[in-house]
Amino acid sequence: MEVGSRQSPGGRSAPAPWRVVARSVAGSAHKKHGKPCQDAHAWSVVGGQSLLAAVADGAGSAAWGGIGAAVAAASAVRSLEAQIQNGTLPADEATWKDLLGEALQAAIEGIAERAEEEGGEPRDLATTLLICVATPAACAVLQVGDGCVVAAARGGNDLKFTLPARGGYVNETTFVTSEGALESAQLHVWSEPIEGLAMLTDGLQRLALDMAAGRPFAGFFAPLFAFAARSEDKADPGEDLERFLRSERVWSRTDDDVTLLLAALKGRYGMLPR
Amino acid sequence: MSTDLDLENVEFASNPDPRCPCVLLLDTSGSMAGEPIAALNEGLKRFRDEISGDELAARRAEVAVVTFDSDVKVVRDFVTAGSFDPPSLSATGQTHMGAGIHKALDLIEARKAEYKRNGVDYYRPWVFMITDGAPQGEPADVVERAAQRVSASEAGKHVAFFAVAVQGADVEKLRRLSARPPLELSGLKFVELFVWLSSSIQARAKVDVGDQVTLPPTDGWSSVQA
Repeated sequence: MEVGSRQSPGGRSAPAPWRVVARSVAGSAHKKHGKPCQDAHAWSVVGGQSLLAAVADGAGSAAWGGIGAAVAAASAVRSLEAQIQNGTLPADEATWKDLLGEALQAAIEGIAERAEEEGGEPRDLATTLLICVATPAACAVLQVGDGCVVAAARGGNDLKFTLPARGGYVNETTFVTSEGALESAQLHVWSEPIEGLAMLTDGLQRLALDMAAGRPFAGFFAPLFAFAARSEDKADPGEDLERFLRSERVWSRTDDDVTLLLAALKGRYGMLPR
Repeated sequence: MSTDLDLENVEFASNPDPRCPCVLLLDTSGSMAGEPIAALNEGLKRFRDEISGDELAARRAEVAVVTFDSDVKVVRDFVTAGSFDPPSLSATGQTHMGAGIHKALDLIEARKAEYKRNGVDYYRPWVFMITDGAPQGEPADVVERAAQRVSASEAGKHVAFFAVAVQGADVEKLRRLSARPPLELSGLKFVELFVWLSSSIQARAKVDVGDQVTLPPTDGWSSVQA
């Protein structure tokens, strides 16, 4: 499993055929107030074909939000690994719900344990969490909080997506430690193969989504999927992604921590029209 | 090192900036004359300097100024913080605090309606009331209704209302008007207060739906911890 907060060894070829590049970068607001990056991500490929991925955004208002994000992402992916390795892949919405729900539960329990170790409460490790599994037949997402997941299907001509959970105010959302987090989590099951995947925490969502239209901004995602598909031909795609996430173009629009996890199936996405 | 060409092609969606509306509700009654109002005016200038130094806050924060003495005036209607022109206030007269509170809450409701009409997202609005006294010269029911309105707005999470008591203020009366315990200004540390306020607006962290607003430590300007 690859786990990262500030740094992750991205771009290294995952077991064929997935190409994954992922980075989490601290926001200027957090750096100004002396906080480390509170975003995290984790991913793994099992059976040579199924991609398991999670991104998480620790609550700025929580003392150990960054730790919560790291624990949640890692626990979710570990749970998915164990469940898939022990059984068959889900075939319907109910079994997808079970699989992803258990991974969310594992994240919640991981946080509770860590909170006890640190001498605090689970709310001190509050974090959003977006979990995704992509198999050769389907892609499913369970999401608590804001951020989004966008998947390219039908050769990139069709974008499947989730949208940030909307509280009334722009700085309010649900965390895995919130009341009723399990019940209010968004579940999406797309019963077709996907060729590209992007997962973001909310730092990038205003750049990536057309908020009024309620859908992904295609000009954001198409080049990113192409980047991921071609990543094994690049010298250091992880560094390229990091530099992009730290660029002035991004920082003039957001001061929040940003996470971008990109994955593409080389040979399926790379050659396709936008 | 050259930028990756694929990443150079990434385009960004253009969405309106989310807004963070804040009303400064200021007591300009006779007792504030002299040093207090001078220090308050200094504080307002510093507030403008601090908040416009932060590019994102300058675009997102919106500031309005309402004063109350024997009269209630909207001295500055909402404007993005980068364009905020601090007023030079003078002090005279009584303390129509109840009417001031109503005006501040009305301004916020109108602003939220404007945001909704234009598809603009926003943070939970703040009202910062700064006073050195207690309501004076108003019918009791105006004040009572103001207190009820603050309480209902807080309960419905429509607004976060903070009262700052300057030396001489009737803290007990303020406690009944404001759902939260009043913060107490140490001496005339208005500049420190406004620097802190600017920083608090810039630092608004992600919170759980249903959480109470928590403020950063106030010991730089207050003798009483919030």
